[in-house]
Amino acid sequence: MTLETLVQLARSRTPADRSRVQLATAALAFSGALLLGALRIARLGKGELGNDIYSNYIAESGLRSGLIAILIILAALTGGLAVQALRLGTAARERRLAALRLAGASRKQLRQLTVADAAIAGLAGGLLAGPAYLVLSLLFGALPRMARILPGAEPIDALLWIPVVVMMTAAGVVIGSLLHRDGTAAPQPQSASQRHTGIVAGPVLIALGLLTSPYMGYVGSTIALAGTALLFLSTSGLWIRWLGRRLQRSGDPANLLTGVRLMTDSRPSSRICMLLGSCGFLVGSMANGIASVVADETTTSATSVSFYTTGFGLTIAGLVLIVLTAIAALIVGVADQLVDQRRQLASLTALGVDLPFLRRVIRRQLTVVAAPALAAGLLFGTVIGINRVSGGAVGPFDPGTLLLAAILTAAGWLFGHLGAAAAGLLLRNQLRDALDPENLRAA
Amino acid sequence: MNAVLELEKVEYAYRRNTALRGVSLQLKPGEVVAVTGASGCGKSTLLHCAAGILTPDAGVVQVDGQDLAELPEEQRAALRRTKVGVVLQFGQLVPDLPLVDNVALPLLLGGHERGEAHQAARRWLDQVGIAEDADAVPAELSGGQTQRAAVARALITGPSVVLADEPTGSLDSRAGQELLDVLLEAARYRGAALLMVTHDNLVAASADREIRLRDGLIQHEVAL
Amino acid sequence: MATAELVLGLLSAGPAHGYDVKRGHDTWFPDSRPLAFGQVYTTLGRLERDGLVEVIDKTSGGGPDRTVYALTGKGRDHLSEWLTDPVPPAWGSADEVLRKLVAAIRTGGDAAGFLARQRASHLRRIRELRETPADDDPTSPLVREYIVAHLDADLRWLDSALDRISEQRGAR
Repeated sequence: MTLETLVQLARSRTPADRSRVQLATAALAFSGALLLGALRIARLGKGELGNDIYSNYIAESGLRSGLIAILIILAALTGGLAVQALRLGTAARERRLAALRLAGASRKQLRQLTVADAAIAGLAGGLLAGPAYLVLSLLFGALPRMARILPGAEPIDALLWIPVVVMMTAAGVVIGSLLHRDGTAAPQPQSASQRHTGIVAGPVLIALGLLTSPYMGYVGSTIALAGTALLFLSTSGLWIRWLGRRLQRSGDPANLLTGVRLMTDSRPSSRICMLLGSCGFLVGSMANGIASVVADETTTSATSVSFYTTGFGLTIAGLVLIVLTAIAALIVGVADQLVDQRRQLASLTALGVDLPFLRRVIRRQLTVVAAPALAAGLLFGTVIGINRVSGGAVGPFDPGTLLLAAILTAAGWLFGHLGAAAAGLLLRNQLRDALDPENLRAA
Repeated sequence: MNAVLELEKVEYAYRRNTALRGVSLQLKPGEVVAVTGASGCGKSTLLHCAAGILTPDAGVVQVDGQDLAELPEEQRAALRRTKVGVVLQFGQLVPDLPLVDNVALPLLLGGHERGEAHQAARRWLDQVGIAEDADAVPAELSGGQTQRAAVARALITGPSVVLADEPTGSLDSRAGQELLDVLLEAARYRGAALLMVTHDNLVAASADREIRLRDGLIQHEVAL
Repeated sequence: MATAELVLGLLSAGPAHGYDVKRGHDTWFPDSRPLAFGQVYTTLGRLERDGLVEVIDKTSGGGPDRTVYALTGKGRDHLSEWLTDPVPPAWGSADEVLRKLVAAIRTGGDAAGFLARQRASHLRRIRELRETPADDDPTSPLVREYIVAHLDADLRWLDSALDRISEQRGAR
């Protein structure tokens, strides 16, 4: 088909589709902005710079490379969110792909459409990354000197923008082709061997990372983080399936329905679980870091405290952002499920399934994924601590850490519950929609 | 005369349920055939195998003498696009595209320019009697109107055979009869053979031949 | 009405009195109006005159109720011909379709084949009716639709009969 046709058919038209693409574009724009930041800072060169203008993180060349690395990592994480957003299929989209297949679209053409859809989001995101970076650097400029980790842009930086646009579009293409689901194959459940590998490999990588980080620096930290993510991915899958099976045996109809929905949706849920757990881990370890810095008597100078706190605080802020978006992705995934199961749900109204009941089910489904992931991540993160992760000196064990861990774990658990409760509120229209007997008349 | 559609000992099973146990039939150019039978007899499955939507577990499906199984997926899709038109009971139009785009879709997918595809689509929408609805989306229209658009879409590439699965199934008797007339007229206009799966006797009555299925096999075949 | 042919069918199992013929009819058609004796004897008389049945035993001094009738070879031929032909779909033929079907099943004839042919005949008739436009007066289209609808109704019943017979055959 011609390019014009490709673009025209790939465009999203329904409101649900559009918000999905908008979410992905926003994520990719933010990601692009972070990449621009990394490139901008890299442009400053390798030498030392003045501490009075720049934040220490930029001024000191050793820290600068670390900042660049963190920005790139954050950009990748935000890109991961774009993946989640694009992954969200809607019932309308499924129907549209089915109709296109019926009209004679080949598998290759359908793939081209999915890729084009993601590529357009990437292109838009890349183009928005420029203005986004300008806004971000202005915002960061208003913060105290230490916190200004995004330096202002100069006209020459517009040249940096071009590769970012290209990169984001390419990212879109890659995401689109990876995500393209061939209509005939059902998403493969994680095989048992994959799960077992994760459970064994996860802790092994974590241990390896923690042991080598004093010597290999960021490489070790990355290995540890990768191991954490892997561990969370495998265990969350197990946890969700185990819980799903248990709930399905329950006599309470709400539990039964929750269990069924968990089982059918286990793979995306476990991915989000992993994200939440990993973020919780990072937040916990950072919090541990802040606590140890504040408690440590040897570093009482204001600059030092603000130095560390800024670094950790900014990272935590970024991570919290990611957590929020991950929860949002989970919610949107649930909303999607509702759309797909409209007919089944509507036909249950005859059996007394009403709005409050369905809300309970949704809440349960979300809580069971979000709360344990956040709590577990925060617990491990706080206990293990940033020092071990980054390979720094490990101080004597502080019982205060356990208190902090307990508080954060409870906070994470609460946060998960709050998110689920908010979902019930946010999705009330979708829920009502899904229960509408009109759905029984549709094809 | 060569058959435009030929099925030879086609078998198909859905997991534990064998829907077709070896069905053979031939469709001659311009012929109208009705496939009837109780629900579950396998008639819809037969149609889906003939349309290339399902791949049979055994047997051969030939369109205009070309064995579908011998073609790579890309060419098979292209063949289906140009030689086979499909009309289903419902749910076949892209929900968020206006009718003119929906009808033009097979041409657009085949690489035609938008302008000429749209022109052809509007001509066909006129042919089936809904020219004024060309820019509306399916959700805004009645079942009868969207089914007419489906007929237009099925015939726009000039296929040799049109396969219709319960084309009047979701319509009331009046709209159903009108749609049947539109379908027969359009197929005749293009010289396309027509295979209709139906449980509606009035639809079956308009065929040249009736093939009745039972439990995945042909129970009888009569000329009408 | 095809009452004569029905009587032939009722006699196909073996010779019988007129009374047995009447009883047989009422068993075959429990929901229909019982066959009147008068009609039985009139029919038997006509059939005998036409050579389709013969009297094989006559109790002396008895009236027609003491006579035993039997099918002749000619009668058997006529019966099977009647069972083979589909009923022309005129108004009121439904009864004959039912009779024919029941008779076909009860006498061990080819019910499925008959149903297939009857179905084809009905479909052809529907097609004829739909292809020629009805006169443009107030009632002709109504009459036309009525006939088509009844034919359609007949066909739907024939479908279920066909299914039932196939099931029975499958079960056996």
